[in-house]
Parts: sequence; structure tokens; C-alpha cells
Amino acid sequence: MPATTESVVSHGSAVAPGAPRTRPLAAEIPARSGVGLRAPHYREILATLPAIGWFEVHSENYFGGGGQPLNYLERIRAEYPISLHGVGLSLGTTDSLDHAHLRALKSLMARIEPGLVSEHLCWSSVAGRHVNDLLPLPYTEEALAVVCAHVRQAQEALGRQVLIENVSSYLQYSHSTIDEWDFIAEVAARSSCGILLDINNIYVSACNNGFDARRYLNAVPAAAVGEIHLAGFDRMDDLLIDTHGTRVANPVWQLYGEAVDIFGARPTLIEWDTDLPPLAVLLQEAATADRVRGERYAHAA
Amino acid sequence: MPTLRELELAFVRSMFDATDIAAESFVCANGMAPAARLAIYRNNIVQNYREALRDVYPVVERLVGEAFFRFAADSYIPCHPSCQGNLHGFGGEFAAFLEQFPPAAGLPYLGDVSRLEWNWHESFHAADASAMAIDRLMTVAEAALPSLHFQLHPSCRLLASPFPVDRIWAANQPDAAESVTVDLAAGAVRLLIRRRGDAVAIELVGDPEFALLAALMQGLPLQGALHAAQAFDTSFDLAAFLVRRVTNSTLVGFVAPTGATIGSATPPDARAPSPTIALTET
Repeated sequence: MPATTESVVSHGSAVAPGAPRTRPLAAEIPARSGVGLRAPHYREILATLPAIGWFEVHSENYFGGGGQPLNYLERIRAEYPISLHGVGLSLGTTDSLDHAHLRALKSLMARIEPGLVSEHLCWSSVAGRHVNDLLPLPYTEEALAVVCAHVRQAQEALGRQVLIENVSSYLQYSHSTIDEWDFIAEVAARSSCGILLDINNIYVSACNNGFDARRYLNAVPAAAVGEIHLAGFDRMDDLLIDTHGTRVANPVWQLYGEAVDIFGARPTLIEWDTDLPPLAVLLQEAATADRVRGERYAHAA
Repeated sequence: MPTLRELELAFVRSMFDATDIAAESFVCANGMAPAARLAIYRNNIVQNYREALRDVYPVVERLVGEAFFRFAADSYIPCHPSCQGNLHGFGGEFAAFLEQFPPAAGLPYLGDVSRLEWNWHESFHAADASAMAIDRLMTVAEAALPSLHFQLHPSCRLLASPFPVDRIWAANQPDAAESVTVDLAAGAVRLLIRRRGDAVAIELVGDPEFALLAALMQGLPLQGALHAAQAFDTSFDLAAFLVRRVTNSTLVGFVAPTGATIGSATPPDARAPSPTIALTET
């Protein structure tokens, strides 16, 4: 099982456009900034080969097994490390895991050789019905047992460690008995998975549910954190909504700096899914993440 | 205290039926009503599905307008659950739904336009397959030909419609001319939807060829598929069909039933450059 928690050597910056280049031997995701890869940016990325450490895709967008999506992904993979980020496995379901979904993911992994594979600490289906959204779990011993069993099964089926991401939430359950940060730490400890820490989701959930984001950061086992996500949220009345449709907010940058103090340099992704801006905006956000990380890291050293 | 299963079942029910309030009792109020908190998820989920349908059915949306499309989508979504974690699999019954949707009864072609868009969507995402060298056919003993099962490229889809849905589709593409008149009485079409390279192509095919492709897709051996074509055209040119459809990668492989003879007694270089195929009538 490849370790995802140690920092990895960073790749050189992208070579000049048009220069021949073979697939990097190492698939590892460097401890630099990456951005979410979305279809409208495919051509520009291949034409300009921006100096970015890596890209992340939603795995399910490539489950068809061919055509334009996979063709572009393979061409971009020849230039950059790729992380596969799943949104549909439903690790917290009380159904059995969807083996067809795992098979599709595994065959995509064989084709893309991802540096990281991640999923969410959530559920999205029951009794065979999917909602294709990331729904929060009650944090109970029962849910912990379900999630841990499914994470272990998934890792076994895929033949590698996966990272589990904390989701943003707009509610808490009255019968939860475990704090979310202890729950995710326990999932990592019991199932040997890594943690994908979404700083924006911590901030959004902390505001919506009234807990201290710093307490969350300090409770997460640093050695398990293999990747960090950053994204933008929107405000709707009294709630923050995790839309992935704006720039990273200032308090989230602040929290990211504190995360770097605690966890050190980790691969950091800028996610943007709705109202997708020009690639240049994503690259600016990634550069900001590099700067924040660099300042904190230099300061600590 | 609900079990996790009870909670998940109640939560999902409330996502598609706002009057089902069982899940509310599991949620902390904490400054905001549980119903309002659940409504955030309901809105997100329904919005995701609306957008997924809009992505797959842009021509239908253009034909009926945004407001009607949203109305139709909101009627479709609660009654047609997604059964997989891949959102690209959602929306496959939209054509059948629209055909039974009374407010859309004035647009009899809408169902087949939806079918065409769904086929296009499936074709776009379908697996890749390598082309088959035409020479492979030369290695088949003539007597074995009738029993071969041909494989179509995974992106191939067939659609028959009494309406000129290919022209309706073309007239409603973003780059189409401003005003195009499509004569609905222009007659039935038989379409092959498939990828050429990465691009999905919509191809008009004749009745005999459509019948042959449909029969091959259903798994019939070449002999049976040829009969389907000959029902429309007794002089159907099978050799020309095979050469063209292998060369343009509509047909990407074949298998012989177990025990059949594959391989030729004559060396390949002693054969004609194009296959001469004469299947005997049974």
C-alpha cells in the first residue's frame, strides 16, 4: 500500500509547450498546489502546460471507459500527476458497497496511475436509491463501524490506500455521540486510510453547526493527512453553502495557514465546480496557496 | 434513537417528498428549523439532477424552453430514482417519461429527440475499441462465415423514429442557422449514432443496413442478420457492407461459436484483396 502521508519530492515545473515529454515515472502528487481539472480547460492546459504541480478529477466523469474525456485525461496525465477524487462510492451507506462502482474505479486507476485516490466521509445512497450528493453521517459507534468496514473493503478491492475527506454540512443529528474530528481520526486509525482535509468544509461546517474550526485542526492526526482541499463558499441567509463557485475566502486562507503550521506542506487542491472561471483564475488561487504555504513553512523553519 | 438504516431511509424519503417529515426529528434545531436544514439538501439534490438533465438534453430544453424543461424535470426527478453513484447514468428514462407527460402531448417527436440525445450521451462516454484489420476476415473459412458473431464498436447506438429527429437535432445545435424549417412529415429515419474518433456522429442508414446492424447488436450470427437485411432488399451487398463497416470501425471484431473452424486452408496471400462472401440461403 503506497504511503501518502510522507511529503514527496516535487516535480520540476512544466516544460515548454510542444516539447516532447513522456509520462512522469512517478505518479506521486507533489506537496505543491494543484487545481481541479474540468472539461472546458482541457485544451488550454495541453496548449500551455501551466506550471502547476498536479490535477485532480472527479473519478466518475471517466467511468464510461473511453472517448473524449479519457483521451484528454490520458494526454494531461502524460504531463502531470493526477489524483482521482470520487463523489459516488457512498462509504456510509447501510447497503453493501457497490462493486460495479469499485470495478469501474479500479479500471480507471489502472489506466491513469493516479498519485492519490480519495472519497468522502458521507453517505449518498440507501436501499439502492442514490441521491448523488454528499450527505452527513450521524457520528455514532454504529456509523463508525459501517464506514470503517466499507473503507477497508474499498482499499482491499482497489489494492491501495484511499484518503477520506470531511464534507461540509448544514445539520447535525441529535443522537451523535462523537465529535466529527474524533470520528474521522478514528476512521483513519481503524481502517488505515489517509485523510483529505477540506479546510473550506471545516470552516463552513464550523459556522453552520457552531463548533471551533481550530479545535478540529488540532484533533486531526497529522500523519494521516495526505491532501488538503480549498474552495469557495456562498452565504444563504444564516448558512454558508459549499458551492465551489467562488474564490477561497479570507478566513479560509487564514485557517489554511494554521493547517500548514500543524501539518506541514501537503498537496493542496483548489476546487472550483460551479460558474467555472478561466483557468488563469484557478492558477492564481493555486499561486496564493503556494505563497501562504511557503511563508508559513519558511517561518516555521 | 434511529438506527443508521432508519435514518438513511427517512432522510432519502424526505429529499423527494417534502411532506415526509420523519427525518426532522433526528436533526438538531440549533438556531434553525430542522425542516429548513433538510430543505438545503433537498434543493441541492434537485438542482444537481436538473443540471444533469440539462447537460444531456440541451435540444429538448431548446425545443420546449427553460421554464417548461424545469417543470418537466421537476416532475421526472422524484419518480425516477438514480440507481448509481455515477451521475452520468441519470436521466435514461426521460424519453419514455416525456411521451407519457400530458403537458408535452402536443410535441409527438419530443420522445424520440430525447432518445437521440440519450444515445448521443451514451455514445460520447462509451468505452474505446481498437479497429479490426479487414485482413482478419480473410482468415475465416468461407463455411464459417454464416455463424460469426460481429461486435459493434461500444459507442454504437441505433434509433428508428417516424420523425426526422436528426434534422430537428441539427437545427437546434448552438451553431445552427437562425431559422431552419424542418418538415415533420418528411418521413421516418433510421439512425446510427457512433463515435468517429472522439466526436459523436449521427448517420442516416437505409432500412436493410439498419436491420442488419440491429440484428448484429442483438447477438444474431451473420446469417440471421443478413436475412433481416434481405427482408428489405433481396440483393443486399453483404461484402460491401462488411468492408465499409470494418474499415470505418463500426464493426470492431467477431467471434465464432465454439467448435467452428476459424483459419483458412489457403494462405492469405492467395486470396482476393476484398472478401467475396456468398452466404447460402437456408
